Amino acid sequence: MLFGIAWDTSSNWLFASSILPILLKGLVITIQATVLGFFVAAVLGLVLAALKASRLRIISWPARLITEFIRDTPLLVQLFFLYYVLPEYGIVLPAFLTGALALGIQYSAYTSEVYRAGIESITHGQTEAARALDLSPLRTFGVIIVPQAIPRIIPALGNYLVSIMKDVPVLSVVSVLEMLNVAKIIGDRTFNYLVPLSMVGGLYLILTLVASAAVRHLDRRLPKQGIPLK
Amino acid sequence: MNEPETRESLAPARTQAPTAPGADAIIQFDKVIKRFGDVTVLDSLDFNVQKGEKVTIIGPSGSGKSTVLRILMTLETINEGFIHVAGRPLWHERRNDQWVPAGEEHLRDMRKEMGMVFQQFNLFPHMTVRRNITEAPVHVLGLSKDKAHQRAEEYLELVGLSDQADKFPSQLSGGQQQRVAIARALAMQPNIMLFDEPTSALDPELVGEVLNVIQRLSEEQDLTMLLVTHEMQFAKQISDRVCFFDKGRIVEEGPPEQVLCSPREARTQEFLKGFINPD
Repeated sequence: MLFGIAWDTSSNWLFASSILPILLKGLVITIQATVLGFFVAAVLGLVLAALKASRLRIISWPARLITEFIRDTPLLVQLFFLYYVLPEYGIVLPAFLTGALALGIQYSAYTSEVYRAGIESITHGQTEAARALDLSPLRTFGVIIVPQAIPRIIPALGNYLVSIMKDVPVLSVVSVLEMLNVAKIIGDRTFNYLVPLSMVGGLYLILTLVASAAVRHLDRRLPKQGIPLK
Repeated sequence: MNEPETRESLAPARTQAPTAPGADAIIQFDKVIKRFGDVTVLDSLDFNVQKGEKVTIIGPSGSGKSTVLRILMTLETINEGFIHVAGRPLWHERRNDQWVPAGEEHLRDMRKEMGMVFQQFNLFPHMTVRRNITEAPVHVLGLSKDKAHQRAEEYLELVGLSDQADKFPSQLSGGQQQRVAIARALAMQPNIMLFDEPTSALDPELVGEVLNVIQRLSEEQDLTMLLVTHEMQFAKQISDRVCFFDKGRIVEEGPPEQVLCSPREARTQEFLKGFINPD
């Protein structure tokens, strides 16, 4: 019994249908961690991208270093660091928050590159035309660059959303009850790992396929020329 | 965005006053040097344009002809020398009895004198034709939306595209796009228009419509025009003066008939051989 739901081990099929509601509760946690992690990655990545774009080296250089550091160290190391080291300095966060934060930080390194590439993909001619028309740098960024960069950035961010989702099981090591952890606990208690782990694989497959299809759909629907302004 | 990097080191401060501009010169280059790394693109260039004059710059690629326009539009800095536009220094301003590299505020002010048309049009692809034209008048000049729309109609009519205001650039032909770009530059009502090879990116059958618009501008509007082109026949029609650039200097200049049809300099003759006789 887990989350107050009992299982039926009399046959594999009955076992499967009885633990599905339990796994779905884990799935909800997985999705929550994904969404929160993605939100952190999207916002922090934007901050990092802005810092890295700075003309002041004293700002851009540390941002570059941080990005490189995050990217070149394993997610698990970062997670352990946040979970075991921070409390020593009085910062105690719940496991779920710590996990989502770790995912967000890890992926902010990647999303910052997505923003950078999206902005740099706008041709030089656009900023030159804006300059020739005397538009302010802020207006140029907000009205000329960003609307054209968004359709290039969103699909790439979507792909990272899927990646984050697939990395959520890492949080099981700090006892977050996401889907894989739930399945493992069921296996531990029933000595039947085959059914719950297969179901986790299947659920993940469905989730990933749906999310990838959504990203592709979005990619097709986005106006290639940029967010139209009339 | 793309601020000229390290402007401070590029347009050096100087103590001596620059040569005062000639009485009618609206553009005056005074011993201007521009380098890209080791390459000297403008080699101590002296170059004047009178108010209302239509000047065509011709020359081989890499001769620095586009750079002249790009420096005027403040898209490129200068390394040495002095430039006056409309009687005011372009790249310098006076501070504490010294000519120091101009700040962004001064440059923004100076840019109002000029409008530029690019080889690649550089229209904003996510904006309708109307928004392309009204964006700067509304947000730089502070025109009301109604006023700006009215102005857009006016200039669209001038370039013969009145019925295209609600379209996006991708729905127009290259020639139409370039005409919109001309209307967009005109809507800022500059005194000087800079055309940087405006027809070089166009299919041959679309060149005519753009040249016609430029020709009409030169006849109807009281504009100073500076045009970089490879269209020799056209240069001959509209220019008051043709300047042949080579290796960052003016090799030969004069009335179009003289420079294009009976050039004196060997280098000009050689260059023009590559084109069909402008007659």
